[in-house]
Amino acid sequence: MSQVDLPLVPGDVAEPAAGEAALPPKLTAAQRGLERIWATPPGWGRLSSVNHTVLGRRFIVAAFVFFAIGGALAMLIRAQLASPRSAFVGPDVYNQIFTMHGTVMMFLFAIPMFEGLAIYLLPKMLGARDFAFPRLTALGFWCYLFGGSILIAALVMGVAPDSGWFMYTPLSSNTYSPGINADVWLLGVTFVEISAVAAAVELTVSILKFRAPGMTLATMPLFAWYILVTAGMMLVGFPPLILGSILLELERAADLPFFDPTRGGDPLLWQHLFWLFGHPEVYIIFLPAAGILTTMIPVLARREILGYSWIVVAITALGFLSFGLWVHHMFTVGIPHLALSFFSAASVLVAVPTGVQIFLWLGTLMAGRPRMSVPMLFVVGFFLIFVCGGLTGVMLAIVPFDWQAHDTHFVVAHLHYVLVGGFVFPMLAAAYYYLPHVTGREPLYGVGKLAFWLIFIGFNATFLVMHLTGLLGMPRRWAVVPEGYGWDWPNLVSSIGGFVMTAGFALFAADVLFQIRFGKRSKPDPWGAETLEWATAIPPRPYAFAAIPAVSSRTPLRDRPDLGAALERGEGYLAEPRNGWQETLVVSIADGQPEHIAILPRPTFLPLLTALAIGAFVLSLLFKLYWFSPVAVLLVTGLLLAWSGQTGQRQDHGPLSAGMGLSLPLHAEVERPATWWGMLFLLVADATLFASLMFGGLFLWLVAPGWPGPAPLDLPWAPAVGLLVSAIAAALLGRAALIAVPRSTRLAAALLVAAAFAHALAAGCAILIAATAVPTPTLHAHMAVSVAVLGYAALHGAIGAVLAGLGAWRCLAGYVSAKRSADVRTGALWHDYTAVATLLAMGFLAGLGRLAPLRELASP
Amino acid sequence: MIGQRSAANLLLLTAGLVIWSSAFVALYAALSVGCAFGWEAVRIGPFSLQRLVLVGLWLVHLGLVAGLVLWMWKRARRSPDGDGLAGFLGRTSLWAGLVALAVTLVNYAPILGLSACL
Amino acid sequence: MLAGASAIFLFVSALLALALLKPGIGADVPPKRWLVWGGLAFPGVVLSALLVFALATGERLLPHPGTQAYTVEALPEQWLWRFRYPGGGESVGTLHMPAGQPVDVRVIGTDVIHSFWVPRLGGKIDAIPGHVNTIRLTADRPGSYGGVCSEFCGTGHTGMIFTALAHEAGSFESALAAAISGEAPR
Repeated sequence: MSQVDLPLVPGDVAEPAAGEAALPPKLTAAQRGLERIWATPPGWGRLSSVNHTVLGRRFIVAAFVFFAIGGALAMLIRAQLASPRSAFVGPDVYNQIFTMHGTVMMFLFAIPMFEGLAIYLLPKMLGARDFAFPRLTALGFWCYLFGGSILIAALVMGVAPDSGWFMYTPLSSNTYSPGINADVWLLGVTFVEISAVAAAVELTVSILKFRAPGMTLATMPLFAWYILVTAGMMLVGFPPLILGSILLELERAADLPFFDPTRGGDPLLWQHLFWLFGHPEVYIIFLPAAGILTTMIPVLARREILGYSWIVVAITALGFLSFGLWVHHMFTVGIPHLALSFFSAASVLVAVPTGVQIFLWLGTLMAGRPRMSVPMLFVVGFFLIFVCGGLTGVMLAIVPFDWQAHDTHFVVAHLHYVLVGGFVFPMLAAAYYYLPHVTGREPLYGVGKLAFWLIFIGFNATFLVMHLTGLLGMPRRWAVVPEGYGWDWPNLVSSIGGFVMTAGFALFAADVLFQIRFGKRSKPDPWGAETLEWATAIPPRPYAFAAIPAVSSRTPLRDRPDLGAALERGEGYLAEPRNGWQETLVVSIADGQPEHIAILPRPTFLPLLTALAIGAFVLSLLFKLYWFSPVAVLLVTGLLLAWSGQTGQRQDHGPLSAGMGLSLPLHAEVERPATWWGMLFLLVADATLFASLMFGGLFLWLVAPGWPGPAPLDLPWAPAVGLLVSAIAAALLGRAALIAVPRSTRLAAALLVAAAFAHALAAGCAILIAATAVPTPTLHAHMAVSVAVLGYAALHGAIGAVLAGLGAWRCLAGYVSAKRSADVRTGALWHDYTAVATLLAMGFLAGLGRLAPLRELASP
Repeated sequence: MIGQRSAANLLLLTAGLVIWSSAFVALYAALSVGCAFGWEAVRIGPFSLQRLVLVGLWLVHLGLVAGLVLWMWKRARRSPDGDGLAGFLGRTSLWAGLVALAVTLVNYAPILGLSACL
Repeated sequence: MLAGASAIFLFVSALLALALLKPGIGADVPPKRWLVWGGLAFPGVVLSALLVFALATGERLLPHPGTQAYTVEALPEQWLWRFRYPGGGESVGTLHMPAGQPVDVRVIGTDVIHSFWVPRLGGKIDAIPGHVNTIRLTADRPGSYGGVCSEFCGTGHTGMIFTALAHEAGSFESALAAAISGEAPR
């Protein structure tokens, strides 16, 4: 396993070739100015990059490296299963291998890969120069890289997680997994999840607000719709897993019995939280791939996509329905058949919007004149494999069939058909399709065809046969193939196929490197595509567009084939660089009318340092150096506060020229800048987490053995009233500060200081309640849940105090004026949410206390 | 009233499916609570309490989606045709509403037939 | 189900082949036809039929109260199968059951999650700590049927197998008594 240290090297493979030598011959004076403002510094300065093109490339390269690691693990699995009674590795190592294969492919390959693709492409498709929060993109990348590195380092040291990628308790609990293996998974994956939630907020705000003027929701590229739905699903789908991981880590580290059936916990809670994330996750992976297919198919078929509006409806439905499937991973845990039928019906229904897309793609292909090329080959491969995977998926949605096939190799075959067919093949097609965009070089297709056939044949040899292995009854996760069941030859075929497929992937990697190095210069839009990402120079400049175009249809390059050249001449918005500002346009959500100019932050090391500090916190938990954890938290807080110093304006500018005769205010001078929207969507994810926590409490009350607990929970009334009053006071003071801003920023600052004190008081009260009412939270899950809920309130109070303090400082430091009140407005969102959440938390605790005795009436 | 070109149309696009989600949570919760507390054994006329609660919740949600679809249908008729933004938003939310209605109908139909707590 | 799935797969593949071999063949097909027939009607009909059939089958397999069934308890632990019979007797690694009549296996969770599965007799059911799940099996003929743990349960997962021995209904009690006394030392 020599390649496991690879991800520690930041992925900049494409960078040297695309350096100065690749510049087009003549840059205008304006372009040279933009170049100076937007470029990532050389040398160590590369680590400070916040540019979406650079970070998108890094995400993709890092994800591919992790894919190679996951692939190597898969090869080890196939080597182990190639012959019966193989003693290649023992079961303890084998368990680490398959756990890590699943974990790496899901968390470190699939999600970051589509994030990378979206980060690289979306601003260019939408006609923006960058995302809403470039530093957040960078923070996401570093969190992903560090979290992934922790997992891989553990693998090298032989202490990788070994309880399966689904980490079912109690197998993953302290009793049955005493080492740090499970902690590595919980902390490493949560670290990566932070990156995913950051990306989700980033993508949502950017798609809604950072577009070219005139690009409405009805003319936006479908890829943006796909990613919008995906990002929305991530905001709601990831928090349950984050919560589950936090609770399980609390159980392992502090002995709080959320999942321990002897103390009122329940292992089923973990399964619900895990699959509440885990099934939407499949669609979170599939939708971006479908989005890129929807982008490529019309170009390859030379025919506009059929049914734009239908696709929007289909993927919206898909986004929702995919949340109604999670229990189909749990058909055998003993849930009533009627409840199973809801999930079974939803699992079957979800096939309909998928079918709508398949047939609209087929219709587009049949209506057009598709040209055979390597991307098209992979698209064909996608159709054949994914349709098979979809059909076996419908079979598995059928409860009685699932009772048979569940946890056999049939399921393994099914999920690989769905994920490899539905994600890897579209990504390979996209790789060949967009390679000219990234490198600026003409595609060469000889080797690509060979790679396709190796991968396609190898894949089917591996997994088509595996359906049979499963139907012959071989369970998943067996470390050896026993003789005498007829399982030996299908496993051998699978192993041979697996190695053929690996050869194909190796050939693909070599081919891409070769093309980056030796390809001929390409003309600007080699495919004749009609969307904006092909209006940039290839390879793209750091500012993407020398001027921002106005858009009036879904096919801006058909309306004006010379658009790219015109933009380079500066015929568009914001063509003139000024003040060293990284400027881009922000539009209204639905109709794409220009609203304001956003000044984006320049390259900075803060994201890297913050990620390092978060990493130090994670490692302190992992190695149980709990004395260091508070230090790390302070470090993270301090660094995050330092972010704020780089943004904002200390003076009113009034409307500024945006070019083309348009004058717009700066982002600091509007009511709702990107930060406000970012806070709103962050709170959506936060609220989902809180809802999952309350669901967990009620679930335990209803289902877990050993309820009601040994002692009733009495909330001490004085601190309880104090908590409620101070939380509400903080929100009111935040609102009052907003009203005070136009009159006096000093008054506003004073009110915010008061709000900070109220928040701090609320946090103190929550901690006091926990200490007095729940002296021994390890006793019973009811106590543990109560402490978790109070901890949630305390944490929000503490963060509220910091945010209010920050707001007061910004008032005093001159960032806030009557016109520039957005800081205070954004803070108010947090204060309001905290007040509501605190009320709910106290109501929940009181309610759960009342409900607990009722459990005695329930049937066992 | 929501403007025909306003961002709130995005909420309308999801409204029907949000009601479907609400039905999902409500029915799953009611079923679990009912099975734990023996509502299946409580008879009201020819039906069990469990069955009545489930069907009631289902009908309430069906009614909500149907009302929403009716309102959106009237609204879509007022909006201009064609490929413009208003037409697009009106059409897509109406179709999403219809999808939600169909899904709410099919997804929970097993309430009528299957045994509740086995 | 396999035949249906194959037919659908061939249908989609044929459309795809047509698209590539005869470019422009579908240029005159109105988009709405793809949506209504391909996207809605076709999956709608196939899937509804399948769903109704599936739910009816599932309902039939449930352990409905009122049926006379022989009840056995299964207590899996890392990494062996223990079975307890109505008289209090226990056996390890072998489940004795009468042939030709329904047998309810009450699967009781102990340490970590395991899953009870005798592939030739029926579906599987998980053993979750703190919970008891019941599955109804019927062995039509006497004989020996292999059983496995089908939920990953740690390093001994692969070896956690058992045998279900179905005895003639008439001689079951005596066979069980003999088997349990043979197991006594354990």
